[in-house]
Amino acid sequence: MSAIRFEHVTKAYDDQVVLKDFNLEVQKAETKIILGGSGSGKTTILKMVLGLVKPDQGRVWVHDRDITDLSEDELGEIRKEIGMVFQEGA
Amino acid sequence: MSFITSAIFEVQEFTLLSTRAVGNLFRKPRYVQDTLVQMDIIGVGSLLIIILTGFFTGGVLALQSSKSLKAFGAVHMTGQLVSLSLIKELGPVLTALMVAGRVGSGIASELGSMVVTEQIDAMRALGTDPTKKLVTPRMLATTTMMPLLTVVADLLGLVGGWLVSLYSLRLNSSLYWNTALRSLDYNNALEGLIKPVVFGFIVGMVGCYFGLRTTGGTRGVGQSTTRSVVTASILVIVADFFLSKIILELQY
Repeated sequence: MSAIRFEHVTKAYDDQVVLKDFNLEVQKAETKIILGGSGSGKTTILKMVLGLVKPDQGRVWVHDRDITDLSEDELGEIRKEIGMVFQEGA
Repeated sequence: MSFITSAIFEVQEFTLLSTRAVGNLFRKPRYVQDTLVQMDIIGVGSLLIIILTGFFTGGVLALQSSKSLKAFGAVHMTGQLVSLSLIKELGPVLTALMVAGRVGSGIASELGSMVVTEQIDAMRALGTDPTKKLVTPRMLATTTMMPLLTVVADLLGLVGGWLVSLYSLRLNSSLYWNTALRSLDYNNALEGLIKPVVFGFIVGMVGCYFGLRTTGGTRGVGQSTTRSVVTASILVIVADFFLSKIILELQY
């Protein structure tokens, strides 16, 4: 059972494509580091895990549950299990 | 995205946000404390500018209209002209424009700053719906405070017109108040109270909409603030025309 899974995710802000056919799988208790320059999509990936940003294409799974099309109320349940420190709040 | 597509998209997003903000009134949690704080900021905070605007508008209305009325030998009708113009049109519109400038801009810049500093995302991540916590209290506060502020502006406008009539036009006090109050009927008062409710909703929602759609850092906050004031002011004037038309149609 994977904790987080991205399947062929694509995301663009206006004309700027930040993720293109992106795939990622993180197992439970596994540590992964995402490195990249400014605007390369690191924050977008993390926000997609919380459902704060929706992918244009592809699916996002958290605890083997597809969260791509969940409503804000349903996402609230997922978000209770995840902690995140925001860049500006650090 | 073409201009037309973009305009349709903006209208759709604004409608969705407005619908959610109104729908939240019937869902828990209701954030009563936040709403009361916003009512204080919007209502009490805007009182001074509304008093000044209303008072001097009434004064200048009496001053200018007396010249035209004099040509027809009807200076004694100054009170009627001041009260009808103020209560039906100038009171609601000028109050809404002043509140749009002071409060609408404040809402847009406050929410815009929260967006660029990721406070809105943090709020959502912690399971709080920003429309419930931030938009609905502001919408409710502007919608309820605008009619009250308009009544204050109308009253002070009548006082301004009375002082000008008394000391500048040398009119009798009782004549001014008689013509001013007798010319008003229930429909006029109702019209003067329906409009501010709609204007309050517009000012609050436009401020929240542009604030939440802020992008591009601190520069974006400035742009959102400007857009919110310009859009709210235009929408208030457009809505005033259509509301006047509807109310007049209903009266006849």
